[in-house]
Amino acid sequence: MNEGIVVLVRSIIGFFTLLIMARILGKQQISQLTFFDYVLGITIGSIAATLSVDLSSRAWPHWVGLMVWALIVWALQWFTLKYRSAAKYIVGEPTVVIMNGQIMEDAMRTIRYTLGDILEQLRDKGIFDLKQVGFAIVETNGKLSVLLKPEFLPVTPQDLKLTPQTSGLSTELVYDGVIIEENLKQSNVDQLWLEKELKKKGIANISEVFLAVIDGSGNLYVDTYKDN
Amino acid sequence: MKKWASYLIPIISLVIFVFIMEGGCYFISSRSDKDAIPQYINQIEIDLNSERWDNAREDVNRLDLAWKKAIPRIQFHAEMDAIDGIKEDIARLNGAIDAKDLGISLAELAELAEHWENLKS
Repeated sequence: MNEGIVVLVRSIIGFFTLLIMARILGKQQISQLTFFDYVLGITIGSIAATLSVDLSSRAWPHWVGLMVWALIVWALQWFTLKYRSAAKYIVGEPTVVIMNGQIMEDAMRTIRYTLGDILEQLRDKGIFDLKQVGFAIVETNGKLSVLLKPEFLPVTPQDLKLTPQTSGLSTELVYDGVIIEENLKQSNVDQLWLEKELKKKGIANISEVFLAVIDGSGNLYVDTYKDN
Repeated sequence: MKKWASYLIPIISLVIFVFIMEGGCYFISSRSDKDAIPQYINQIEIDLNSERWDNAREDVNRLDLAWKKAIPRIQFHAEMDAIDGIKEDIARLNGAIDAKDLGISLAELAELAEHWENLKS
């Protein structure tokens, strides 16, 4: 038995099974994971690691375990998407811990959240004075969402009756000295226009450009390899 | 990538993975007579019961060769302990035959047969 080859093959199986499962399970980000999702991830990863290197047991039972855990997660996701009441039961609900500036002690006790936890998360958001807080809600992933009292909310252009211009999404035209033709067409510009714009900025050759990006208003941002 | 390909690639991959992990069962039961390990086990048992020690020795050597050929085919299916177990059984069986000890030889052979049966599950 060649242990190296067996581990190689088992690792490939584990890696691509995890990749397939991760793609099926969706695009939730790590920061959006609930505590349970986090534990599930660790468990599935641990099973994959055992599948890969534990030669004292067969690969098959580990692989079945991996598939079962991933399929249960997928089934729960489907169930919570389909039935809102099931989602409340399985994932839980956001909990209001500060309402109109009043701390809700009973709600905090229910979710085992301490005042220290709230103050820490408020400080993390740059809020050091409890008086500023109108509402604070603990989300199902444990993060605190905060709505400040109106008098402490930041001023927006709308408050100042200003109409800001939208710059739209930026598109890369040149990356690493190479023109991205597809993006040129998408942005309704051509190579001649690009070269003219670069010349205006004192750049003679596209190969000098590390990155050139055009925004929705047609403004060009250029970064060259030469840094002053 | 076309939509059908994005479904087909993972499905084919998973089927291949299952075949690699469970294909050993197929290889164990579908080999030709030359590599048929159970046949050698039966033959050795007959040799031992009639105390034909030289024949038993030759059959164990053939069994050892057949087993070495089988390992690459079943190594992704079986656990390392089972593979090592059969290797150790063959070595101990050789020793018991050299010592012409019928009891130990039969015990080792029975353990080897059990290990072989376990590989199929």
